[in-house]
Amino acid sequence: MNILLVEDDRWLGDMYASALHAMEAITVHRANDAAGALDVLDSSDVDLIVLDIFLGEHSGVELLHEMMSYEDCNTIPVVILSAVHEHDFGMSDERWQHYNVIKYLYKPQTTPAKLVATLQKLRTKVKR
Amino acid sequence: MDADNGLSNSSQQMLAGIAHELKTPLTLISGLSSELQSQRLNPEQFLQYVQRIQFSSDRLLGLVDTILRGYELEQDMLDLRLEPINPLVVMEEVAQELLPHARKQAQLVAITSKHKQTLLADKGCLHAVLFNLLDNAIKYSQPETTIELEARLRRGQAQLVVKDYGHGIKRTDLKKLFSQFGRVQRPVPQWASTTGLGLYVAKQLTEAMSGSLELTRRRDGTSFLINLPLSTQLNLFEV
Repeated sequence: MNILLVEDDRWLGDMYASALHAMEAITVHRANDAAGALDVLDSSDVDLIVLDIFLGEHSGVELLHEMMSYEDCNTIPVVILSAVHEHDFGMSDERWQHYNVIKYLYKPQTTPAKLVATLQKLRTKVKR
Repeated sequence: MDADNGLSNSSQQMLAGIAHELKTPLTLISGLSSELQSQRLNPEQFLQYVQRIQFSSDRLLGLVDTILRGYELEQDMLDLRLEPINPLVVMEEVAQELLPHARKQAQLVAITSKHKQTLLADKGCLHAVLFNLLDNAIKYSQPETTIELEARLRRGQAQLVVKDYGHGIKRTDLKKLFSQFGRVQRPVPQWASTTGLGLYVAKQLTEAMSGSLELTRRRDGTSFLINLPLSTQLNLFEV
């Protein structure tokens, strides 16, 4: 399974990527902003995206919006990993579903082990 | 003002900003500590994780220090202990604390001094001022640039300069720059989300030490200038 991890904090990215690398049969691609994520999506087959929301110039939501216009990206399942609580974000469930968001994780309570456990559970769902 | 909880909008924004600012280092401390217990790390990773926990803790302490000093200023409770200080020592301390932060963006911090003067300041406050200015310079500078710290003499005073090569500050943003919670809109990485309190506290602390904080805009960035009185009673380091 190919996972794209989009996280603009290098150390948080290192931390989560290192734990994901330890999963079986997983390839981890990384991007630290929305433009970098689109580059990876252009050049690799991605099965799942783990996406931070606040990414500097363009947000994760902008990236999701952009992805909807590409046929080869608009069905990729997304796990949001954000420092903002889902209920503080003010986005409806329908909107998240529209963007193929299958799980919302609150980053301060998501240790690398918890992210791995969550992705293991989602694995059957995400095989496209 | 919000009638329900007595907090003004700006205070609510500040609290939200502070809470958000605390989250990145706390997430790192929590996540990296849990990884240390997993026993799957090699010795090099183990050491790196411990160092990152240490740095994240230092950043939290720096932020909490700023918040507390902001509160002390607000409540008129600031207890200054002015003493002769070699600014290079404080500059090196602060640079050392924030170097990992700069390295995240492949930035360097260079310290220079043409004169070895002592100035009169409260060491903790001077540390907080420099911490906030350097922290800001790192946040707003382009990757792979050098942030310059310089101690020099200007108009019979000590002048400490924090010079960044960033996106610059718009003229229209200058007024609100030093105001409480006065964040300006500049592209900034998420880990660097700001409370809007740092520059305000830096300015107030500098003025409390009988100094002034000013800035100069350059085409290629911004220089913050801390002017403080020289220590005339004990100028051991003067050339």
